[in-house]
Amino acid sequence: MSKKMKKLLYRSFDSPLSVKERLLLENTLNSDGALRKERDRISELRRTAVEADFPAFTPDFTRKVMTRIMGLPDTIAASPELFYTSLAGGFRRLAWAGALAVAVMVTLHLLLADSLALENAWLLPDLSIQELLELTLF
Amino acid sequence: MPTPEEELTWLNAARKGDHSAFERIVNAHSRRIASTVKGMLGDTAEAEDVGQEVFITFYRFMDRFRGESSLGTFLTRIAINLSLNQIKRNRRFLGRFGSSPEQELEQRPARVESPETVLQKEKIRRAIRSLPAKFRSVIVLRLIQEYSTEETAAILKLPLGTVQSRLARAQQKLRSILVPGSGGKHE
Repeated sequence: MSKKMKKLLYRSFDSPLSVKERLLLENTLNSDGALRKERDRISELRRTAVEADFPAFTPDFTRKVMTRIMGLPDTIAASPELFYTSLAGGFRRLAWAGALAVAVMVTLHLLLADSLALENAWLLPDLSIQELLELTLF
Repeated sequence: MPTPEEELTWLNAARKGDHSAFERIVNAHSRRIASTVKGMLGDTAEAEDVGQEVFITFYRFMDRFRGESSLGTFLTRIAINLSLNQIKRNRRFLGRFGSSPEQELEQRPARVESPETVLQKEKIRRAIRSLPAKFRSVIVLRLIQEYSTEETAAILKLPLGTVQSRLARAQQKLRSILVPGSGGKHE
């Protein structure tokens, strides 16, 4: 029983195999007794696992959950976590709106300007640093 | 089991503050959640607490449920995450104090069944519980809850290939625990 075939066998229980893989597995199962035994063991194991049958919660489980829920703040919106989440959501919307407004403004400026210079995009005065410094001095 | 339409009606009513509608959701899904958390944590009082936490977490964040998956799958995802958190907490506790609260809690008596059945089921549950958490979660979801491999991958947020390889290794480990000397190595 090769490792590759064993891997294929395990995979066959949980996901569909390609036609080629299926044929290969069937042929190997016909000729390899150890692989057949492994298949039977895995089938048995899976059947047994289903039977594990984990018990339900205690009969008063729902009542306990509902009592705890009744003890929560009156309105869901009063919960601090939800308040901060909605606040973050509000800021996100504001940020998107701002970014959109800037993009529209820059595009508009560039369309109206003669060239694609950065100064035109931000409507900056076309001055050199020297000129700018002189302007601030006065 | 309720239909998706019924669930949606209950959910909308619960969102508007109708507690009885939420109670119906709890009743409809508590069996599945019990199976998930008890599969992960054992039949302990701790599992019961985590089960309650699943529904309370859902109650607090039910507005975020957009219906991309079924309600059962959504709740199962919460149950798996809370169970994994609990396992981590227990591990930390074990590191500090030497024994986990899970081990110290008394097991509840089983329902009336033949002694052989009870023993066999308990043996399987113990075997599943003794698996490392990453293998336990795939076994609980795929073999016990019978989710498809794709759904299991989506719930655990893992690539499909990882789930397939974990399933294969988990089954080998389970077999080596249930049938000692069957060849698999148990970590």
